Amino acid sequence: MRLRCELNRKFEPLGHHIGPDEFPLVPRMSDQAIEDIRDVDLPAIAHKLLVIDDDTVHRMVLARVAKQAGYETDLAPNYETACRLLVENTYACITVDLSLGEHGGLEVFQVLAQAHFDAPIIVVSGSDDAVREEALVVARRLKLNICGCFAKPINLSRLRELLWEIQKRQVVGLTPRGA
Amino acid sequence: MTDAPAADLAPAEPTADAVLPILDPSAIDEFVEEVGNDAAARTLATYLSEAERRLASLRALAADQREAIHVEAHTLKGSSGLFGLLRLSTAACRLERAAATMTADAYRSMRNDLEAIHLESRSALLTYLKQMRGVVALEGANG
Repeated sequence: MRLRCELNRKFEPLGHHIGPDEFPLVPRMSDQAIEDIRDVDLPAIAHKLLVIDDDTVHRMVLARVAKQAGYETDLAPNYETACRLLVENTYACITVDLSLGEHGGLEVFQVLAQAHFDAPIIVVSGSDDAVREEALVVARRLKLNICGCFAKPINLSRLRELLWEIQKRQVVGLTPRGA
Repeated sequence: MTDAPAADLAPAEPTADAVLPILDPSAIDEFVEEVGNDAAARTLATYLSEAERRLASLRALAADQREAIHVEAHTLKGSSGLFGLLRLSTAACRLERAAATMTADAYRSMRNDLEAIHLESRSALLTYLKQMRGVVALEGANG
């Protein structure tokens, strides 16, 4: 019970522990709350994470980091594959690249909104700040649960920490809501 | 596409790029530390083959295929940045930004620039990979 109270009470802006290329979107847990969930066991069956990125290299890297954070991953190199996988599977978290060749991440946002997808979404993009900020505005309008936004090249340790935190929060039933 | 005026022939900010290192050792060390030696070696090998495929694709594109050039340059910028290939990432970024308005000659110049920097980057990455494999083999022998 103390853990749950602590998690609910000690949210604070994430901004103080992320770099300038990332957006402070997830309410940050206190150090004590993080310490409390450190020993929470990951689920016996790994949560699934969908990586949507048109770059093979980034898909490989994101899948590796997600695996280290305890996720099983599916990979979508394009909009069509992403749509199919979203219909066929249930995901605990998604990473979305904003540039997907012919289609953009915003089209993926539309699909997610139509499906009332409310699990955490992490935006990973090599586009400039203005494009990323505009995408976040759209995502908020669509009431998507954007929990992080990373510029490429990605800060991998920050991403792993965020995935780890999301995973642990999900285990104790406190899936984060993006600000 | 009309021929470029002389001013368009030189890529923008060539001297600024020249001072950037080909490979930022701290960035690639951080990458390897984060994903582990084996995954890093596999990813770097994939990157090298993907980068060459994208450069070949750029060679096949005409300057007025702006959207396709933008996509290839954007991806090359992102993936090369991941491994600390600063000069290549910057050159790809320049091409990405110029894609919407550049002349055919400016495109040719930027693409040649990109290819030359890629060769240097490739060589630096291969050297790094060899050293890394040496370290892995050494650790295996000692472990």
